[in-house]
Amino acid sequence: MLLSYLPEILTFAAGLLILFVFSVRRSSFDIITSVSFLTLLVLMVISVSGIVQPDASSRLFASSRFTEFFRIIIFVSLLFTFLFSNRSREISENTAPEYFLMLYLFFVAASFMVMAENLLSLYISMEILSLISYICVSFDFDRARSKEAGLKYAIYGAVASSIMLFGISYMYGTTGSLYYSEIAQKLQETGSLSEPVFLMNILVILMIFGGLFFKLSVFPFYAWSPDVYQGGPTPFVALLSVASKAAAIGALIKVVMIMFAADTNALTNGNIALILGIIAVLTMTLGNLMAINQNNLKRLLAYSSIAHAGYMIMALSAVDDTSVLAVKFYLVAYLVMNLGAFYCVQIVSDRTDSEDIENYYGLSSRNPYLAALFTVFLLSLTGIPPFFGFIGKFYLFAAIIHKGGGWYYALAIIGVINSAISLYYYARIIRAMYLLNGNDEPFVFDSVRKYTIGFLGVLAVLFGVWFSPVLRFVEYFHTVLR
Amino acid sequence: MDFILSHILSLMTFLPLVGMVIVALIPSRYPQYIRYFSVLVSGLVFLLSLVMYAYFDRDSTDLQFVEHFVWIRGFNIEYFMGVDGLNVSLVILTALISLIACIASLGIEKKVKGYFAMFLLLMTGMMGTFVALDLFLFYIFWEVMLLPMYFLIGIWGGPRKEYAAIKFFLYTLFGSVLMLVGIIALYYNSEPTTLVDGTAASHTFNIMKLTTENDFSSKAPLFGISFAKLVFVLFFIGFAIKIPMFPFHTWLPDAHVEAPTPISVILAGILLKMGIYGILRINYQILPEATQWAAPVVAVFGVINIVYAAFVCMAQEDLKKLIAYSSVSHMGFSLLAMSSFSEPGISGAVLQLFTHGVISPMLFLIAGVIYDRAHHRDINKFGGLAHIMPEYSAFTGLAFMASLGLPGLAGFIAEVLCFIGAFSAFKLMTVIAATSVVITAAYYLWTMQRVFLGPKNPRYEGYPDLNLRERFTLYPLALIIVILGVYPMIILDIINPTIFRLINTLR
Repeated sequence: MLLSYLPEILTFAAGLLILFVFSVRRSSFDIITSVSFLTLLVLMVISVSGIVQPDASSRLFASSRFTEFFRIIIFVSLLFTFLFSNRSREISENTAPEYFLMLYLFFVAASFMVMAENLLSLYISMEILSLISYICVSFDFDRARSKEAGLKYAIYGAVASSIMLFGISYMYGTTGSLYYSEIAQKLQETGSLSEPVFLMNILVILMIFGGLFFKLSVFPFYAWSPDVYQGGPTPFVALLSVASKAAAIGALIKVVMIMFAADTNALTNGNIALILGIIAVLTMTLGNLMAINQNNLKRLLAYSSIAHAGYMIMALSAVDDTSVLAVKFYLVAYLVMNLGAFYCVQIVSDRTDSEDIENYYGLSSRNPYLAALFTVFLLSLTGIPPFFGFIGKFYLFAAIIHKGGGWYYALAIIGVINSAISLYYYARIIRAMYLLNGNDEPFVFDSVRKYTIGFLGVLAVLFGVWFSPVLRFVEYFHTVLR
Repeated sequence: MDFILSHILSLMTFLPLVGMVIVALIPSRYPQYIRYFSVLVSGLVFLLSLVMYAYFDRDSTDLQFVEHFVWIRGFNIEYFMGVDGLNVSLVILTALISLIACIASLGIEKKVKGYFAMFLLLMTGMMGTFVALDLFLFYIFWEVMLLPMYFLIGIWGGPRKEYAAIKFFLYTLFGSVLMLVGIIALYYNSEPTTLVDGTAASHTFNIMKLTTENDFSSKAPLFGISFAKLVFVLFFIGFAIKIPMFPFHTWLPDAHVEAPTPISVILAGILLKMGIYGILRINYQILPEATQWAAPVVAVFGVINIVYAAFVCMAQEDLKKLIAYSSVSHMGFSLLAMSSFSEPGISGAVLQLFTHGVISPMLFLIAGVIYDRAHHRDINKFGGLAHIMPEYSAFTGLAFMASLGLPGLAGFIAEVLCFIGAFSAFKLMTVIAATSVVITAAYYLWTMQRVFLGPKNPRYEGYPDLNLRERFTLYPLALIIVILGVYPMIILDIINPTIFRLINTLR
């Protein structure tokens, strides 16, 4: 049974070991990064090797093909984070061992969050993940904005998670259980409820979603992300925008699909779809509209990642198997393009010490390679073929249109119009790089970064025209949730 | 030869893409190689299109030069290309105009490598859009065109290039994302069928199968509107923006005025044709009932396009803007004529795509010639150019006459067919539209008078007449305009059989 949590246990141990070894014997950033990277790679291989068997015997956590998928997503985004944390302007060499320990723990917490089968174990793993995130966001010790971001994040997080905890306790009060499946059963048994109790229950569901919405930066808990993204160290922020959202959406899928998906459920039948749909509309519209006037690229990407969370929630609002598959497919695309975009920003800001759009003027002539790749990531985020992001969005829209009915068509049309709006602010960056002129000094950066974003760029194009392998990968991990 | 014939559409589509990769590999210190190599590639594509024309079976109504295999099984997406009467003339037009525009691009001096790389990518997108018969594939090619166009206008354009480029990009994307919803909706409402390799598929993107095996008029309504009508509207907005149809036409004057001459040529000659083509290929064939329902409204918009844009032309002082609005007006003829569902109407609409696709590039080239010399295009500031540049003036005269529909030149036949067709269904509207012929004649002749006639303007003394590059672009177009004016059957022969079949399905 313990064997099924082997990746988490080993990662935890490896993190402590790395902290210990490198605290005793301080080494250069390169060495710490290489060791951490290779260790994590080995752990990832172990976790997919077949030694780790799914296990559903525990009632608090259960690993399955479904959770394995999220394990891999988090592993992969961590690997990229390691490469880009190395020699980052924002993370000092002295604190590298502690920083890497935090990243290892990040995996453990995020993975348990998806595996949770009980509201309380979900809450606890989510809180651990939050704590790690607060610390990592303030890891850029030399800059006040990093500390400010950490504090803001912690305050917002405390509010969101206390709301969630209240929801959980109320749910326990009405159903007498904290297990997803038991709650589902209880909700089904309650049958027809009187109006006030019904409304109260909807509110409670929203409260429980609150914590997850905070992690996903979804309306109404999205306001933290621009400040935190702008202040935090870029490599970690990139991780936050992908892995943290992946864990939250994984947990949300389980909560929605196990607790509220049953058609016979008098309380939630149809309402969950409506709630998620409305929240998706608000999230993507707000995210996109607010991104339009941002001049700081990290803030811009923060709003764009809010919008992308909105697209995913939109697909999830169909509450069926196709939509879960679509969200997972989209996560793969989102990982590639969003990490790529953040790393392009980091490469520029590591040199100019600023993320303002002025730094990108004329980038196409200073470093055509970087400008071209950034353009690929941005267009992929917009959802323009032949890039990966288009296929991802195609799946999302297909998932809700598949469901049929006027509401879903309206949702899809709002969604596509939103993605047309998003072109405007992504194209502003492309315009800065290609259409405007800046200073002409050539711009160079180290080769590890060059090949890493090159690799992401190749994926963003390749999977845009040939996405069968991705589909097979997602489908392989697509079984029942437990 | 067999290989070429059986893969001719893929070759024509992807040769430019290969060319783009090679251009990217040529070091930028050899701009001359990049230029001539690009001309070579577009020349090859044009040659292939001539081969296709020669081997095209004129009596058949079936798809020809078909390439068909399963591309992505997970979503039943097929790689399906083919030509019939509806798109064969447009494929030839695309190859021809691309070559002409490529020759006209030889004068580009700024960032030559990037320019030709984008140009060749644009060619792939355009060619693919016309030959793709799988909705998913069609959509990909349709969108692939946007990015190179954005850069070509945005980097190599005029003073307000950035504004024009993003406006073009946003307008078109807005339309195409609605189309995407339509595509997915058609997919999920299609009947189970088999893919080309015989495997069963629950749904399909195959345009031919969607046409023959599905009846969308009986699907459950959404928001109280019938499903077919809703999907029709989604597609129609996407295509109407591209045509461009009033009130979605405002991107066009900006894009045209700011774009460099060869890109205006491509825009007017090829991109505008995609809207009408898309409506005929997708809306007419897949959603015939909804098309019948929408026809009167489409016709009204067609008339607005024709008359409104013609009046706007009268007020223009910028030569390029005038030509841009005249394009809007001329695309209205196609819209009006195809709503009539009559044989001459649809024939005329498709022929109009071809003739306008030859005439308007010539007009834009002419505007480019004078802009290269005078660095402005203000009609009122010219005068007496006929004394200084006689050859140029003659070609301008020819192009203006062709565009206003002088008998004996290409534009006339198409317009007459359009009017004959439209009259059978919309008497009053056709009469109103026909008045535009007078307005068109007025603005062209007035422009002629202001630019070329009158006393010699000393400011323009000593301007050289057409150079070799300009002759290479203008002579072939002029020749085609005259030949088509005398013998339009060259094009009508290949388009008519399919169009007659199409009309029978509509009735």
